[in-house]
Amino acid sequence: MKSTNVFVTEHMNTQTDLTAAVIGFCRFLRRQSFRVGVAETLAALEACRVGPLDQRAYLRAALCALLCSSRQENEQFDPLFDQYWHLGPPPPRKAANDRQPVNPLGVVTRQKRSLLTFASSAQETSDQTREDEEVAGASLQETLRHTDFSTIPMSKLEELEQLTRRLAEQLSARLSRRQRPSPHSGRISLRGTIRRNLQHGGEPLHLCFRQRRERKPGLVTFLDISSSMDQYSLFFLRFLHALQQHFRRMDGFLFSTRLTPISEKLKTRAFPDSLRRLAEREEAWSSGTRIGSCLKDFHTEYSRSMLSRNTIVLILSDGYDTGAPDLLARQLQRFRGKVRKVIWLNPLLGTQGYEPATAGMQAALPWVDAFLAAHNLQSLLDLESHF
Amino acid sequence: MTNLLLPVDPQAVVTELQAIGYVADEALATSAFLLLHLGRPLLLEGPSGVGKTELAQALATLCQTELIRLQCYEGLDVHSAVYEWNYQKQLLAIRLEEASGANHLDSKQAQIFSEEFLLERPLLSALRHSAKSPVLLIDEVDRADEEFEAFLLELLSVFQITIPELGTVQATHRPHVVLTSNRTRELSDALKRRCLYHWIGYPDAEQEQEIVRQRLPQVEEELARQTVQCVQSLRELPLSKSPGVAETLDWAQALLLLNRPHLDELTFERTMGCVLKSTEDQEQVRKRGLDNLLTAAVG
Repeated sequence: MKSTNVFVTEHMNTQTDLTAAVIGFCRFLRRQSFRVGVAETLAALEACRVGPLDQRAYLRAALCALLCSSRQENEQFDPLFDQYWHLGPPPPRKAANDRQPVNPLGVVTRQKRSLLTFASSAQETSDQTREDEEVAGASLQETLRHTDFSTIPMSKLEELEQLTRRLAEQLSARLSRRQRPSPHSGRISLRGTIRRNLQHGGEPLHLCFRQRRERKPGLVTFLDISSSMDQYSLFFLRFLHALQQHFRRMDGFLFSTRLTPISEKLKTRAFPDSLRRLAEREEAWSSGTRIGSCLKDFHTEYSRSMLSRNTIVLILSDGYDTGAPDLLARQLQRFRGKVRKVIWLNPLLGTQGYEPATAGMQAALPWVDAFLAAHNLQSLLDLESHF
Repeated sequence: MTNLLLPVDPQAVVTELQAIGYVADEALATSAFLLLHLGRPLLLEGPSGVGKTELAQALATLCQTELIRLQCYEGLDVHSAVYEWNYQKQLLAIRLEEASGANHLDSKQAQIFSEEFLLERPLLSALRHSAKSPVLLIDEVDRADEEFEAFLLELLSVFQITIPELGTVQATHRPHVVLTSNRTRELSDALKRRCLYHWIGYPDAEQEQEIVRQRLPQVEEELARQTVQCVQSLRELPLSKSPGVAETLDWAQALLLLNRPHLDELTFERTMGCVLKSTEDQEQVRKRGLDNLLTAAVG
């Protein structure tokens, strides 16, 4: 039996040493951002008590089952285990300054007018054209609502920002109001009826109704951040952020030449915070567009856990695609039968004389349920009727 | 007491599961072992058709206890999962009592919200199981709503349920809980933290062959090998629905029924529906050439 007893390392010669080592291991995992708390540590010790401790395989499998809570963690576990118990070479250490110090808006400086400039424009505008602020609020708002995003002067951006936020809140409120059930329709609820009529000796004088609560749909959004979309991206991002607050489930992606999930970052309640978090990552802001291959990545990596019959897919793009049109069509086709609706918002559609003539757009249209304009705030608000 | 009947170490779990026809590797057996000994729920994730649900069934057989199953779906609520009152019967009782002349509100309430009118649903019956710990299978928990997940969380930590009219029900024997998820959505961290976690992936060729051998002993060794190899190479293609172990078993059984001693192109073409469940996938495999796939697999 000596040979299997390999587990006695310098960590432990007695039971107490093992306890200390297991606690140390839990702490070690916590530093590797595993979610291991006191409860998990105690469970790990308990597992040591009930099982055959002389087998390393047991300890490995038991701790893995107890301390991991996702497939990714499962995959990281083995090397970490080996490293801690000195069974293998330590993994290549990351350089201490692996993450460059990030200037939250640092990315911006490289583009002349990409979406992130807007976030910082507040300070600049304040000492710019001051007379603009004198303009009466209401009429300005009305005008802004119908002004094409691309033609709005820099000086008005701050107001537009605020207006977007307000309208987005309005949209969210309208959406939630619409789904409140009416009190007197639907099926009779026996549970409620009996409870309520006990006072009448069980005679059903008052009926209680039960209505199937309308399920809020899930939403998957794709926002084009290629250079041709520069003037629109900020507003759309703001818009997505507002939607995130409303939908039961929303998954957001940015795309240009590749796909970037942004749901986590949009989840912060305050918008500037979300935007800052997005800016911290170096993405391919304002580069070319390959919609087809980005959607393909989505289908292979994410679609299984994000799509259901109750999902709405929202694509925000001008349709200038440098990829193959038939690839785009094929990827859009894959949404068929899996989701409730595919909506394509095109900011150019509001421009007079625009025809969706690009090859990509032409290929995409047959697979899109609704093709709508999205060049000003009003058009975004009109989207409500499609949810 | 009941602990004496439980396997003493993971190796024993492997052997005992093997005896009832379930092939488990050491890691899975360890998770199952801990489930039985620590009383923690076990969360199984993995693609469909790899034996997540079967494990719960096998564990119930192993412990010689009952399997109580709760199938989750969107919109599942506490009333269909835990308990419900038998309303029709309640109404009838009210009427009968009225007819007999007695008419006291308090006694009536006490009477119609009593045990007699209670309908047990899976979770309650798992808690009140009297003989010994049952195996409670909460299947496809990812399909249930977040609200229900939050409710489960409470149940899984204290193993008790409060029925307002009756009082609190405490588990007589803690059920062995197995949860399965197909990952159609991420489960909450809180739920995951309560559970042991095990990812069941597709088995390797050798394991899968062993599974076929266990489940379908009448299939010839060579045919089993070919089927398994073929399914294994299908899994490497970017299909919309990769075939699971269940599909392998179906296929092997179909080939057995058709009396095919080995896998050839014609047979493959005709029985493709056993493993590839969508026309797009079938089309894709045909385009790659059945013969290519076969020569690679069959050798």
